[in-house]
Amino acid sequence: MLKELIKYGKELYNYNSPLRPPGAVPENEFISKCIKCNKCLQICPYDSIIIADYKYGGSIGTPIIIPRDVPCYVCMKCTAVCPTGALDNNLIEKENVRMGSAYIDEDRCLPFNGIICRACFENCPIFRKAIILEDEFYPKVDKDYCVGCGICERVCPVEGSAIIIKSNHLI
Amino acid sequence: MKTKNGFTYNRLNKYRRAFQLFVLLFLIAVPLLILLDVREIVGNLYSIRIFGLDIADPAMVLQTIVLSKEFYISLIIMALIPLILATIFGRVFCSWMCPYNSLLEFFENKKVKKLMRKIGLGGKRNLYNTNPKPIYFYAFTIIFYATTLIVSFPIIGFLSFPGIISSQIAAAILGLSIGLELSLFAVVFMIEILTWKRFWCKYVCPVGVVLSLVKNKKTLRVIHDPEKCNCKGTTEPCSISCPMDLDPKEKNLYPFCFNCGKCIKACEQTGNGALFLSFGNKKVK
Repeated sequence: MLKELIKYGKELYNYNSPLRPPGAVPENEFISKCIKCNKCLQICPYDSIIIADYKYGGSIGTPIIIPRDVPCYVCMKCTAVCPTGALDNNLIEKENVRMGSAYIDEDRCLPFNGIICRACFENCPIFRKAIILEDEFYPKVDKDYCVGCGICERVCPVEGSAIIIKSNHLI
Repeated sequence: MKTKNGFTYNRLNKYRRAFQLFVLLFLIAVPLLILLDVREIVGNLYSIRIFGLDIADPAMVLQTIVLSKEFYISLIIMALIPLILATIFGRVFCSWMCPYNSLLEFFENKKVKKLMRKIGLGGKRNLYNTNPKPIYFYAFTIIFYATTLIVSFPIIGFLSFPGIISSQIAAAILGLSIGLELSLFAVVFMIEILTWKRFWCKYVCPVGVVLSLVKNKKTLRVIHDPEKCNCKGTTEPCSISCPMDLDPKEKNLYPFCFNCGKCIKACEQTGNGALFLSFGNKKVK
């Protein structure tokens, strides 16, 4: 019982920083600026952005991205329609997006276990910059370039994904 | 009573009905068009973009200003269209567009009420229409914005029923999560149709309050001509027809009245035409 409560508490704590659409201002500022007009998720041609449900506490109704389901393809349409500036309207270049960054779980990542896999490397939209191959074999994330779109998390063949996006907006 | 060009308040009310229905269909059509990948109209009644023209709910804009403490110019421009409309015509958003008002008016319809009474729902009608003091109109909203500022958490969005209804319709059609926001709506809706009619519209709703902030002497309003009025002593058709349980003959009609024109229609049909809409406080001869 207590364990479950702690687990739920931890989950809630982690949900404090869900992955936001590109150009999002820091989390507490985002909560105060977002008016839940859902324009960003309605304009998104890939249906990447969804509405946060009750599990996300006070963020309910605001836009989030779950990259393992549908990642962001950084088409930059949502930043232009945000009425309140919760998503930075001046952000046009996809290279300048910093939604989060990717973290590789080396215990589960296939190349680190001796199996050839270049899924994340080949699908990264910031090609050969955000994810590089060390010794032409081991993937490595360069946080200076990673936009946090989550395409790598989506394409990872490992169950549960060995590369995970964490939001940059930790409270 | 007809004027020269055939304008009657009965006809105006029919236009209003049609427009309310249009708004409801529009709110359903927007997500359906998005499913068809037509993304020219996006948003809901919190804020909407129609072919590149952005419009935002002034109550939500005020909330953003209160919370972020910065004036985002483009956002303030988005609130101008509703505010200008409210300056000229009063709170016509409530009477012509708000889906919550449309829903309540449907349940206040005589035939629907009869049906509801048959199945044992619906309370007695309050026969004593009163116009409360204006402070009761503003009190809750002032508390809400003060709370928003103190806890620095946006609560106005959870209290804006037009926004909630429109966003939940869209979310349901787009297959996204709906639910918790609707719980407050459901509770208030049940209270309103069963016992305390229109307490939300009258005392709580922050959207109507912010829209009424811009009213002035020239704003469209209901005027009562006491000389023509001849229903005295009986149950007045104007008071009975008012969806907000107001008395159009008395003072303090504003800011509660949202210019729906039902009392004028009733006066036109069964009374002597003592009520009319006018820009500004025209002196009755």
